[in-house]
Amino acid sequence: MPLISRVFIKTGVLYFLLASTSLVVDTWVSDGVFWMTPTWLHLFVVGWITHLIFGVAGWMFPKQSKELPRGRTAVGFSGYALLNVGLVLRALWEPCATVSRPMALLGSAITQWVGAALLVVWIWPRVKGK
Amino acid sequence: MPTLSRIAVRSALTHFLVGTTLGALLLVHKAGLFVLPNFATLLVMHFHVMVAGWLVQLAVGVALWILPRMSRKAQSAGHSYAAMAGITSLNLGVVSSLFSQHPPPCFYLASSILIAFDLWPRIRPFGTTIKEST
Repeated sequence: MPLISRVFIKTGVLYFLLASTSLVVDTWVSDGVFWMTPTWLHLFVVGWITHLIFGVAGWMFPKQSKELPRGRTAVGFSGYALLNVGLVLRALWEPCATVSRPMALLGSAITQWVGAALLVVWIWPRVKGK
Repeated sequence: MPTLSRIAVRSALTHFLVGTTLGALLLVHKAGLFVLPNFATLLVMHFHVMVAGWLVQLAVGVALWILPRMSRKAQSAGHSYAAMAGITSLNLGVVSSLFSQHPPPCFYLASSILIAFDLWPRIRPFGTTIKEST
């Protein structure tokens, strides 16, 4: 399994643990408001499932070329970094409804969007026939 | 990767970008930097695009590629037409969510039936073959 896939999948597993923990906290500690629901939902879908998808795609999808079998992995790693910065910013600041952090959430929105776009740019040329 | 899988996976990646754009707008709204007049509608769209358009469609595209193939004759006889119609129906379901908070579920139902019809016979143990249709 290539390095980029190992990094994506191991990060995804960590998010899976974090998402499950957040879900437990949201359920047990909740005062009926469930203020952490968007957080654990995104940790689960973006953190776990999306990382797993791109990790497996980077490993299993057809090779891009002889020179670049895994595609432009620098683009993939950049997308990985930005997506994670955005996700961590969101996880830290979104539940703090009483403490307004508009710039953190704006930063999260921008970094997640650019990260997602870079991941699509990385994997798109590998969606091809033999 | 066969053509139909490529179409489904590329369509899924496109939905991933669209869904992320919607999610970013919702997050900026949440930050209070500007107010989206149709927050609830965008939230429903975000959900449909990410779950059906991105995750479900990607899973279908990869399954069509990875699962054991039918015989060439059987595949050309029409099962892949069912998958093609299923993917079209799935995308119609996602697009309909752009126009209504409660999109008609018939598209997703039709999609699941058509895709199951295509994939079901391909899920089989090692060493078994599908009889050639005459």
